[in-house]
Amino acid sequence: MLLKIAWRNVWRNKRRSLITIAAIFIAVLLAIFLRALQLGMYDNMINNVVGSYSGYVQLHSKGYWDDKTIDNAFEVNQSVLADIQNIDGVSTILKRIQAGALSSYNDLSKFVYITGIDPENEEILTDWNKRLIEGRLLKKDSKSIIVAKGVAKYYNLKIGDTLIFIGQGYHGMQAVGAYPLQGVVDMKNPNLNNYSVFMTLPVAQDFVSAENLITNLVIDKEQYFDENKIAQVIKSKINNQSYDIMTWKEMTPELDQLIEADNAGGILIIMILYMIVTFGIFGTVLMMTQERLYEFGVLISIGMRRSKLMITLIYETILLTFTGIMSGVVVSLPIVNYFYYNPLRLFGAASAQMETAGFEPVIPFMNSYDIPLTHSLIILCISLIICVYPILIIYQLQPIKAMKR
Amino acid sequence: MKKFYLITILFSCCNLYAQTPMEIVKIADSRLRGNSSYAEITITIVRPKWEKKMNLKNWSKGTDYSVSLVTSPAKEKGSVFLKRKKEAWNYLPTIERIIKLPPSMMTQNWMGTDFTNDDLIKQSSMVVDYTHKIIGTEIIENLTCWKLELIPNEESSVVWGKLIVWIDKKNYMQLKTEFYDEDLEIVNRMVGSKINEYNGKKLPSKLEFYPLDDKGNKTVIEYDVWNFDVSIPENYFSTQYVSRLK
Repeated sequence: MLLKIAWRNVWRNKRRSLITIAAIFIAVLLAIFLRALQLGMYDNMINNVVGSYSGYVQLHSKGYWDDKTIDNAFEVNQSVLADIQNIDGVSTILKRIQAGALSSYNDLSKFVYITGIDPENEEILTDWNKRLIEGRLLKKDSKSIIVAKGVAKYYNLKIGDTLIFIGQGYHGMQAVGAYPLQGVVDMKNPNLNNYSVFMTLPVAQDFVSAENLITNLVIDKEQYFDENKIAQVIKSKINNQSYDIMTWKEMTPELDQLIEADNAGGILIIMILYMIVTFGIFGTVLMMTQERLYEFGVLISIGMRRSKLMITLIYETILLTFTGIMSGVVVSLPIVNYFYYNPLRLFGAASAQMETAGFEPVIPFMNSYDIPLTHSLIILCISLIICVYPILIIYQLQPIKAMKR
Repeated sequence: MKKFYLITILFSCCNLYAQTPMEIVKIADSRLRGNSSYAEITITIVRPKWEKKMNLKNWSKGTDYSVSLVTSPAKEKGSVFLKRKKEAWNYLPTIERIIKLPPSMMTQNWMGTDFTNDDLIKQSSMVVDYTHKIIGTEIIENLTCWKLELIPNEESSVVWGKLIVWIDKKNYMQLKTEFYDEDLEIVNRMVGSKINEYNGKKLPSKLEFYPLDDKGNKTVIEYDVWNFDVSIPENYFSTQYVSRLK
């Protein structure tokens, strides 16, 4: 009954209702856009550095992270692999072996990180095809190497040139080898571009005399899955004495801090937006209350209970807010989705700046469902809080005064 | 023959009575090197978590020329380390290349042992570069030893602050050496043991080298064969010959 009255009240003055709905609609739309853009950008940054290369979670032998030498390599057994693969949210597991070595070509030499990868599985995590600039990618039985573009540029390498590597192998063995170049890749990150050399896992293991050993087990997650949860589960499942489990935040704290700092700014902006929206909605509600003072007075004086009138008003607010939120979400969805699949591409100086910082100069939107959900709920709360004002007015209303014109 | 005896007697007389600390070091040093030597060596690198054994053949001539050939492990077989005066080269058969060690690599470990490349190349002369002083007598391995303190001369390019050396009185074997840095803090200790006779010379066959900063690390050198005053073709110490050494 009260709901019906509320519904009719909403449509009695269409213009007033539409203004309120419009205020809420714009607030929801803006909040969703802002957050989708910002979180999408962070996600892209993380993806560039973490998701597509180092993985969200990594497993090392204890002490490897502080002392990244090949002597801290470990043998990973099948049961551990199976345990991890079965954890909820884990999408891929990759074995890698990494060792620093001195590379040399003609008269030049340079320090590089040699990474042994499993080309077939690696394809799932990193889109190597997109990154290939020249030559061919590694195959399962490749004996040659691919290098990142910075290394190729330093030596002025052409496909087929042979690079020499000298380093320290496992347990004091000499690591020496000469390998022909078969491809050049762009790692989309200046650090990786300047120091990366890739071989297949068996070739790299042979180079450092560490048969069947790996240094990093890269664990990738499904999109928007919480990596901390995955890390927790792994920690509880496997022997903590011999392994370290690290999330990307622990491995690359500088990226996390960069995002945290930027995010704080983003949150400040959204707070300001909410403040403006709050006053916008409050304005329309204030107007509505003042306009209907006479009506309220009449209703109370003909015997309507104040509490019932208040409930009607709450219903009205919920109806209005709900309509506004729904329309906002519905309108934002296709737009967010469009920009998710066709990310904004930056041009000029902004693009160059992003690239030097090591990120791809694109801003895709985030299409996670929890952005509209959070912001709808926040705006609903704001509306309900604002609703307190007309309720207070009704509570104190003196019908005679209200009806006096 | 008589002359020879006479000289020996005279010599031992000297030993017994009028020996200056410098002479002690000089005799010990020359016994260790000879004019030239050939040795088959087993080096064991000991680390807290693992151990590695490698076998080498070494030819040397005086203090200036030395060449070492790795014979095992199989993967490193054929690697050569050549030293000529103050320069050093490394030959790596896998890449068929000879590399001259740049100054930047001098502080790195020599073939994964606890020695640095510098230790081997800049081997300062214990005779010329130091001022010697006997500071006591101690017994090591049941042998009475002089305990000598060696302070580097100011003009020498020695990296150590001082050395303490134990040399036994009978056979002039250098049984123990302690290396101190500029702040006179002890850094390395080398201990000789398992005395053996090589070509009639008594020498410790086992040398253990402890870098005292790294607990649990040591390098053990064992001489399986050690011949002195052998004739070594000159070309053994050339960069052209390294790939043909056997």
